[in-house]
Amino acid sequence: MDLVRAHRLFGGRVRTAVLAAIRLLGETYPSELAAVLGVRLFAVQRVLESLEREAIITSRSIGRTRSVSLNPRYFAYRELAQLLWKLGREDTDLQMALASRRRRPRRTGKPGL
Amino acid sequence: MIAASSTLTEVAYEVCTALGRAGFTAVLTGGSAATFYAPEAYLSDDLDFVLALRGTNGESALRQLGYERRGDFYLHASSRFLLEFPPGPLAVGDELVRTWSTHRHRGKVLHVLTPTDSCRDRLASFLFWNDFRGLEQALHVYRAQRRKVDLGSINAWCTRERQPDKFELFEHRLRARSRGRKGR
Repeated sequence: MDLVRAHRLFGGRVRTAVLAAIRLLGETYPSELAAVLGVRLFAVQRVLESLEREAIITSRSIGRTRSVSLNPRYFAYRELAQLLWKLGREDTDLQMALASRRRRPRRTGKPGL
Repeated sequence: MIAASSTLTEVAYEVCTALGRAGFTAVLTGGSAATFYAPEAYLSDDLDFVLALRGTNGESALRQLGYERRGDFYLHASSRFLLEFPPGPLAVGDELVRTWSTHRHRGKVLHVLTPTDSCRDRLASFLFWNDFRGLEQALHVYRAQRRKVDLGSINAWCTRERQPDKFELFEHRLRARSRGRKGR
């Protein structure tokens, strides 16, 4: 099943997939989204700029990385978060794509890694 | 004896037994415990042991197996599997783990997280870091050990951690798989 990527609910497949991935990951960044969704970075950045203009997401800089998450001050944040969670929950392909990247911190100094 | 062809489980038995003889109780945790329970689905590159009881001359016991210390890790000349001893206590999230499974095979012994705690341990990455790799590993452990995993206990833990939605997603994936099987 690939509901999210097939959905155009939020104006387009990439836009919907970006939103669902942000919801599932909590906090993420453009290159991670591009990698897990198999979309060009430029396309992700364009979507993120649009979502931020509409105050649906918020971003902050961590070093050179621009971290993005859903905006908790968005007027329909709770409802949006629930809907996106439900869409993401049904999309096993998206979950498998997210599983391709390790997010848990790794101890430093591990030989060969 | 540990050789290049030794599996993770074989290495785990050797290490746990050698440390046991030196007075240590070393419990296999993390991804290596998941590999022990679901070897065909997931292969860890290292063995994580938490020491529940400390003995003496552990370094010597590991050297006799062919392991040499490099910083916080132990490397083997032949085996690809490195050893790590994360600081204790044995825990999943904030909860201490006081019981584990003990397996015996051909005179060797292996202490390892129970299947339920191995599931919880892998799910912890998903709960605390939104790490979907941890979710997949927990699903593998559950599918390989479904009769030995206490889903109610995992549900209660996720609720205590205020992450019921994550448990619901985990359970949803389990049900989706069951439905797929019935449909075949």
